[in-house]
Amino acid sequence: MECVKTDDTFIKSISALSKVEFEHRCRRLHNVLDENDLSSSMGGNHKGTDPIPLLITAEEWKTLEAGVAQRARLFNALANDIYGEQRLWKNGKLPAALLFANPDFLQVVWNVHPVGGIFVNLTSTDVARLKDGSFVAISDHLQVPDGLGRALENRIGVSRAFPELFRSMQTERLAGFFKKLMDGLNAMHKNIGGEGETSKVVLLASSPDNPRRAEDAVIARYLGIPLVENDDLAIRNMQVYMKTLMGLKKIGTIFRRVEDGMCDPLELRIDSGEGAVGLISSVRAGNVAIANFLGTGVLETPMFKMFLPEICRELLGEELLLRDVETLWLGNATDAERVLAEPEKWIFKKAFRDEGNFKEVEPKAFATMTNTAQLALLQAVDSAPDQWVAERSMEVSTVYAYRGEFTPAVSLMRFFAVNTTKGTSVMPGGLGIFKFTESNATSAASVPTGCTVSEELGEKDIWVLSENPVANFSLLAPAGQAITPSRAGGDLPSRAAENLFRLGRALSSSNMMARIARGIAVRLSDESWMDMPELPWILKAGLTDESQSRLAQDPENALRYFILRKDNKNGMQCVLTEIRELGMQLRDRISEDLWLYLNGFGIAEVPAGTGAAALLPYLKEVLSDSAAVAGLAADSMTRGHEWRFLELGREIECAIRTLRLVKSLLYTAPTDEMTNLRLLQAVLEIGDGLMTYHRRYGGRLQVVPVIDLLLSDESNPRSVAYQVAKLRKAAKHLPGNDQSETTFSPLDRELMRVLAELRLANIEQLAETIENKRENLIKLVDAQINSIERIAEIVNRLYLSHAPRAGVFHATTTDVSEV
Amino acid sequence: MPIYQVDHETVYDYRLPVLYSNHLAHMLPRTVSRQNWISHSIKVDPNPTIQQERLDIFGNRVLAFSIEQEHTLFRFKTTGIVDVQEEKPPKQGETMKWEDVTKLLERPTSDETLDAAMYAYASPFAKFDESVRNYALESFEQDRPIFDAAYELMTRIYTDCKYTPGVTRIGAQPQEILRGRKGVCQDFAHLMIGCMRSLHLPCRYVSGYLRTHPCEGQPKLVGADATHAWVSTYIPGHGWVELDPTNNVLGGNEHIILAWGRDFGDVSPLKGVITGGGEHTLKVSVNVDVKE
Repeated sequence: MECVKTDDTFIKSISALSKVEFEHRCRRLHNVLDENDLSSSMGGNHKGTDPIPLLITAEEWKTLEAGVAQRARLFNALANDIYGEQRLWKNGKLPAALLFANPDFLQVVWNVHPVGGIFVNLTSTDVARLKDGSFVAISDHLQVPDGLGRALENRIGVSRAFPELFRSMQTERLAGFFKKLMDGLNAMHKNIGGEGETSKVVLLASSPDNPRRAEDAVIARYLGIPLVENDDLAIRNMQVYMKTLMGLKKIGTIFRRVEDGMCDPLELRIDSGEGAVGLISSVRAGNVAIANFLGTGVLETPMFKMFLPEICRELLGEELLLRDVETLWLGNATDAERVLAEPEKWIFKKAFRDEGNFKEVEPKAFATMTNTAQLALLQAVDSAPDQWVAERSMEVSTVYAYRGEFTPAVSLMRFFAVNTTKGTSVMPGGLGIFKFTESNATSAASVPTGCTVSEELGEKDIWVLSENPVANFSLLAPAGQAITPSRAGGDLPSRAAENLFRLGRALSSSNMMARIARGIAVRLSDESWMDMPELPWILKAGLTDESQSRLAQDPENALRYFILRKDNKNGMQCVLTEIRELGMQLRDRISEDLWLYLNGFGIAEVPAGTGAAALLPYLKEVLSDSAAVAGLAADSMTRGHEWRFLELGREIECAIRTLRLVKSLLYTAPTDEMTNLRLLQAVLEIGDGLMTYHRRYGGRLQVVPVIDLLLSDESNPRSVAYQVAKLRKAAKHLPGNDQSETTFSPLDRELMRVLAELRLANIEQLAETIENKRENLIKLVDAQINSIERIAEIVNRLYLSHAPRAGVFHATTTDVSEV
Repeated sequence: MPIYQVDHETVYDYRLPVLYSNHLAHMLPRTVSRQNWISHSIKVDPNPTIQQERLDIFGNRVLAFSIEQEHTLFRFKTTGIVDVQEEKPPKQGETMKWEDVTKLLERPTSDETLDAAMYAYASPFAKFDESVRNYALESFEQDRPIFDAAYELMTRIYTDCKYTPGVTRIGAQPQEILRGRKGVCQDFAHLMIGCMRSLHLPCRYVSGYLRTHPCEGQPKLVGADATHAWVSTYIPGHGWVELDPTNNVLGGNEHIILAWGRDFGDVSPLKGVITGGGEHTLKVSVNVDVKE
């Protein structure tokens, strides 16, 4: 087994550590990574980061840096030719199919010029080290390069696990690279005449369910730029704006993390209506800069590889420094013959991306396929040879990774570069991707090329070792730049506000659901539950229609269905899932601790065994998560709009749920005192007022003080009046809702009305019964529920709602044959 | 050398107010050797908030505009007067063998051949499969001159398919048309394009208008004309030749060209994305009148 010498130096150094100490360091690494868990959206977690970095000597780095930088320049020059003169094609150097049979060539970008001629601002190149020590490029990512955020996180983790080694080995720092990236982005909109302060750089993130999303949040946070989604963008008068609570804010540069096809539904032939309509017009008008520029996806076409040496000579007048893995196009008859003579030595890839499929097509290594699959592949190649390229399998050198012991693995190194008008820079470090090998026979086929970390793949940090001491530099505290203290919290996009509002509501829902469920479970776990007169009322209060039919025969099963079943639309799990999803989307807006809690909200051991008592520990977990989140939010969120929308949501939902509870349990006044008392007991218990009640009134339960405590008592933090008072306080600071104005806003008027009704309510009268029904109480409660729902609707309409957008319409005569 | 006046009006009537809308129109006249636009005007109601004119990769003049005020009615009207001439078609038996055209365009060496190569591969609304290729090969026999084969293909599509409005959706693929053998001008154009491109031969989608003749003894109905679509193929040494598979004729002085692209998607006369609006009704009326 060949191993590169530099790996040994590191391993020798860590061998000096005891096994216990080493394991301790690994745990430290994983703790750091878990805190920033990048991969929870990918199903697994970040445990796949290996403690041992890949080491690159200063000398090797010279070669790699030059090679990667040249490729970055080369692809930029290529993009300029593709979307400009097309000199390479007019001269007969390249097949026409490469451009015109390629779905990634965007016709609409032709003759559109990016700022400073820079198409590819950020690039990445995957490099493998061969057994002879030479390097070869496996693939380049030139549209939305993945892994930059993960490289950053791995660096933070590994350098904290081995701080002394990190320093003593003189490892190059990454921060300088990020600064260059950021400077480049800033310079772009200044170049197009942005107005400095007012226009800004934003990161246009991939959708929340995209594996890349977590990394997007890391990058946005590290660069200190707002993360936006398509829905946050508004285009007016061919200017791009970010929709915020304070109104529209002009955007100068979009650092995009979404693919070409998702950018403008009007021009890019997607009928879904996704994307920012009119973006291309804005770009053409020179009103906004985009990095990487539109259309750069075409550069990733595998078919370009075999022409790169020639393209490099033609466009840069240089020899290609970092060679590619040997690639042949099967559309060329002689090449096809050569490949098909010994297919087992090749890896087959589609020449072009399948249209509508943004993912890379899975490469097929002939040698590792089953016989049937081999036959099918050969048939596919035969029927459309020009749709295929073949890459030579290669033996790459092995490295060590740790899994209880040092184990050989094959690896790839992903390096990143930025192109700016001031030149090209390569990040001294990168993302290592590895896979354990079981045999010596390794090939490029088994080297991971995908973007996500699957179970078999792990990641490594890459350390570039300097010959000289390395200067300390961090983006987190820019030197020589004084920061003026500010109380404003930046701009809150309306979408983020909506998510916080929804999160608040979901948190309150889950809390009340869990409390009702606990009330039921506690009673059902008593053997004499059949004799508990209050039980049917509580069941009706908590469980919804779908469970109703099961109620009569089997309340325990109905309860389980309510608590545990994921497919129950009205059940608790749906709300818990929503909380976790919203947490994911709000990652860049909330503290790490809060995010961690939301990420694991309601995820606890599913109760084993039967009997309602078995459900109690689970409900306790949910309630304690709920308390923890409330506490963390109160502790960690600044009192800006973020906090306000979360609070609004929580209070609105809490008030509504409490009102509904009161309605369900106190609507009927049973004639027998026993039932009456037990209902009062239950409503206090579930409404969380039992303690307060006992302290104030002792053990005697009476309906008037109970109603007062739950509805009107503003000193009880669970009462409806308390929620409404807090709502009004939070609403005071919302834009356009200044309560010092002489005229009241519709929102404030509604809030005041609700509060006044509660304050003025005559509780004695509410408790009166007519034929065993407390009609007055119900009238008030219903009116209150309506009012509060109206308040929610006003908040929604004023601050959150996005008008629905329709798909793309074509006005054609075929539509109107009747006319 | 007829001179036509073409009026083309598109009206969207929305049930709910539209807050803002973005549109892209391929209705500005382009310069073509056999056509001369004497005058052309556009009226948009409500007035666009902002507009941008540009040249696309196919050489069409594209108008992008947005309307950023609430509206429930959108009207787009063009009026143009154009002088149209006929071009001399190539002679049967005298054009290049089709296989040589394919070969020539594989690695273009000039602006002209590179431009032609752009139309020689599958595009979003004009893909093809084995069935389309086999259908094409019946006309594209070995060593046959490209014009002869293309003409025959046009005639076969005309004979094999029945003009039937309302049975196909926008953007039906060539293989679907071939299976159903029914459709409108757009579909027949796409089928012909798919056939030619399956052999990597260049074929453009041409969008425009056609002069119609009222049935004998009946007055011409105002607004009853329609936009039309046909194709154009590149013949080395001759240039682009227009073929109309819907009518089994070559493009002549009754075909008025608006724009061309790889398929309908590149040259949709007027498309848009609206915010708000609810359901809508669409009225398109086209009138082609002979001035002299």
